[in-house]
Amino acid sequence: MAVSRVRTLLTLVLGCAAAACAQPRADVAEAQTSTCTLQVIVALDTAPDAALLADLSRVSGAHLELIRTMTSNLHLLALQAQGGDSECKAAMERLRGDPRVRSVDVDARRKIQ
Amino acid sequence: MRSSSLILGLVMALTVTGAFAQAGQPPAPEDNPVVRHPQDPGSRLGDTPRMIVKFRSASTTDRAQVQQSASGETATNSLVTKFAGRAGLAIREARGLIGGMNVLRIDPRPGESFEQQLERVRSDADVEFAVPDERRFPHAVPSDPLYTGQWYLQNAATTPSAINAQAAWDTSVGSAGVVIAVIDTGVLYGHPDLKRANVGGRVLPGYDFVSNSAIANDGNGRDSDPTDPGDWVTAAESASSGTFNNCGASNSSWHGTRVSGIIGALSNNSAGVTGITWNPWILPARALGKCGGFDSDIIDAMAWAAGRHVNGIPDNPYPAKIENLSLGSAGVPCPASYASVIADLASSGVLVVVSAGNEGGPVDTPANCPLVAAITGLRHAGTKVGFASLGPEVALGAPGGNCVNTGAGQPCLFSIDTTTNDGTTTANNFTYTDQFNINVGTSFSSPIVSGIAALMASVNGNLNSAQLRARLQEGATTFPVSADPTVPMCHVPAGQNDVQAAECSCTNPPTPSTPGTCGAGMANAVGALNAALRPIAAVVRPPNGSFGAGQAVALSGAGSAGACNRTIATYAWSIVTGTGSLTSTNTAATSLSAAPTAPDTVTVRLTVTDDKGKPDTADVTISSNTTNSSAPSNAGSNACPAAIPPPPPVSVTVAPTSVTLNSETGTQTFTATVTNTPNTSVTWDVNGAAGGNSTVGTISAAGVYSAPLNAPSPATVTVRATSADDPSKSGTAQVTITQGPPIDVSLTPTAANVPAGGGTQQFTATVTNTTNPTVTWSVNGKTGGDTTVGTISAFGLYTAPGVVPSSATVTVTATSARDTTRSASAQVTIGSPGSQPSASTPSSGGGGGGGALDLLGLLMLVTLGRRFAPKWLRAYRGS
Repeated sequence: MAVSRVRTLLTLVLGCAAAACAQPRADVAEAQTSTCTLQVIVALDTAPDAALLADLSRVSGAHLELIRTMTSNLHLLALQAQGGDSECKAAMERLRGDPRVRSVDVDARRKIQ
Repeated sequence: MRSSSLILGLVMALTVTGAFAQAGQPPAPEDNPVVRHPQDPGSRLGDTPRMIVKFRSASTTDRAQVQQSASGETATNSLVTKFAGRAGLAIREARGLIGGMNVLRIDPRPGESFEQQLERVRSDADVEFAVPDERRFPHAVPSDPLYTGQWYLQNAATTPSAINAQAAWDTSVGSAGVVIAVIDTGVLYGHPDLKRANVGGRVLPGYDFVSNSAIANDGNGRDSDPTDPGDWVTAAESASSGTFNNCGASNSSWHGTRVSGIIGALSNNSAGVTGITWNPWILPARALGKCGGFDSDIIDAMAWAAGRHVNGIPDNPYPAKIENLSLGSAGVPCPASYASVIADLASSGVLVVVSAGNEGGPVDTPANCPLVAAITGLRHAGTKVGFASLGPEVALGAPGGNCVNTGAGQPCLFSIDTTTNDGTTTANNFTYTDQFNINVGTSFSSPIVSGIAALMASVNGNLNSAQLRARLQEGATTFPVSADPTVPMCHVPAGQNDVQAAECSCTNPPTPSTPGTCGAGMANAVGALNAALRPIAAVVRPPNGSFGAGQAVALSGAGSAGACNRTIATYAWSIVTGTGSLTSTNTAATSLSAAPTAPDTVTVRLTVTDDKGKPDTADVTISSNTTNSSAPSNAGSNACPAAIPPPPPVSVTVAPTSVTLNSETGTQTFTATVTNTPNTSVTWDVNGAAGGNSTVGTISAAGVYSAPLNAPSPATVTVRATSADDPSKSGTAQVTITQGPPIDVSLTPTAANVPAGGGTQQFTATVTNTTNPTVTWSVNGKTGGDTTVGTISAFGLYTAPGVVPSSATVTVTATSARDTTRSASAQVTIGSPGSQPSASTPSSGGGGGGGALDLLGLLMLVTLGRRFAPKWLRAYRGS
């Protein structure tokens, strides 16, 4: 009998918890679950070593990863931020504001004409 | 002050030294192979030289007489008569022309040359001018049969936007010292009107910069082969959520091949189309694949093509002077990454030519970037073609192709004909675009201008990026205004949604630098070449701050340079604004006697004129302690670009170079090493027979040679690997074949007793001295036997007939499939139904007793119901 009551209580607790997880506020859910990913061409005065990338990640609020170094001072980076596209754009703006960064452009697709 | 003067003197000395060094370089000949008329001016005068003379202030009566004579009456008007009497000339022939001009043939005085005669006539005060009446010739018409369809290269009243390349080719068909990069989808090297540079073609080894293997569509990312594998997109790919989502289904475009053909198809070769340039090299830098390509690859391709280093890529040994980008997309200002690489390229003289876009709206990226030459598309009539994007960023308009008959089955009259392929996915037949396989877009306006720019760089290699752009505009033709009142004037788009998708008349900017809609005018090859042939005025100025108000300002134009094969003949200095005096007005160097006092300025102009009478000017604005000018300090020393030799030819070697093999059993794997091309595939032959044959031996596509059954005569054969890329290049190896032992067939058992009515016996054939152990089975000479003598399967399982035949003993034979003269037989005695079966093998055969079935035979019996032996057993038995 006692065991049965404990089971019932546990079921109720877990059920409520599950329901709470399943129905959070919509904006919180987006922030917690969605990510935006961009490839960006970044002009830097110096080659982006791990320390610089980590620092620029902190500044931009996005995870930055070097894909490859291009010509001259240009570098192709993957930029990943928590949130929607607007958060990626905001991260790019923060990146542009860093004095070590000369420019940031989205690596856009071009087509034959 | 003293040290500044010393520096200035040193700079001037170095400049002069550079000019002398330039004069010492012999230019490469750039003759037009089509031109057949004599180059010697004397031979253009004919046997009896005549002159065209115009007199000053002819009287009304005289003019009337001249006009009358122009209509056919004998020309002995009073003006000519008076002139002849006054000058003491004996006129043999006189005829009036329009505009008050006369054709005269005058008897020379004893010992007088025609040039001296001309000078004598010119010295008469009433003569406005006198010039030789020279013979003229039709312009170069290339032998390419499809040239007649390339309206955009010609000059007809009905196609005012055509660039008149035909006339320009009389001046230059381009120099092999100029490289044009095509940043595009790659190229089909195999097109017979393009071909690799090292096999007599136009296309240099380039590079494939497409880093995404799915977009690249060639199985990998970046590599050294810019061959276009096709850029088709399927409906399923477009509908998927992957890389090609919403790209739209499309066939392969062969876009880079189309662009390359416009710039430089093999010309005057009696095949295909004609390129705008006939000698410059094409450098393919592949940056686009399926559904386009990304900036990060395009920018690297641009930098590499110009000779810049790109990480992880071997440096380009053929730096481009011109880069063509027939690509883009709408919607954003010029990205900083493009701006920086374009500025870098411009700093070393590279002109980037970009198509404006096909949306009919604002100019796309990267055509909207500073320092590029953005090109919009024109209809044949010179109006903007509907699809072409436009705006103040555009430098020029050029034909973009337009269809005026678009009904079903009707031709597109003004398509841009060029090289292409008819494969809808991978490459198939090499073909050409035409009025039915149409080709339109600003993508094809851009290479027209790139080709013209390459001709310009060929006759004046010193022209830098800005000068090429400015002189392209200088040589352009004024836009016509459509006579059709329903065709509006073009306007600068107000935004991305302001689309002018129908024909409009381009506005003519008052100056080339004034913002317009379609640029400075219609691209014109003759005008551009004439502009390119002008010299370049250069001025060395003292460093800012090295002088002060009232002090002398030394200037030198010694760094000026003429176009290829031309020299600076005169220097002229003048003050165009402000007050002051110059120490000299007609020497290479001068000084403004006193720098003005602030805020006054003085503008000094240098006009240089070359030995052909062509001028250029450079202005220097001088303030109290600074100078300012857009002119270079040195025009350069590469007026005649030295011809760039083609890459080394394709080479093929075969290893091993010689082997000796036994007939029949001998095999050898040969390896072909192909160098100087990324296409290392070869085709194999033996003694000239593709793949070989049964007499000389065979060779597989992988290079595995198998000796023939018998040694041929002669016994040595030649194995050849031929480059697929250049069929004129091959490597060989020698194979000597010695006669091997004959094929031997033995049979087990050699005799058997089998009961009629379904009794069976498994036979095993062993074939040696061959690589092919296959045998065919027969009973009494009948392949497979029959119901009378019994049957035998392909695996050697003999089945006795239902009844004992008239001759109870039959012969089972296994014959070598490879050599039908070699066989072995066994005797089978067919007993009455229910009799005891038995088999016997030769004593030397080893294994197996008298009439007992061998283990293998027993196993076969088990599988009788299936009629076929298992695969592994068949393999084991070699049948």
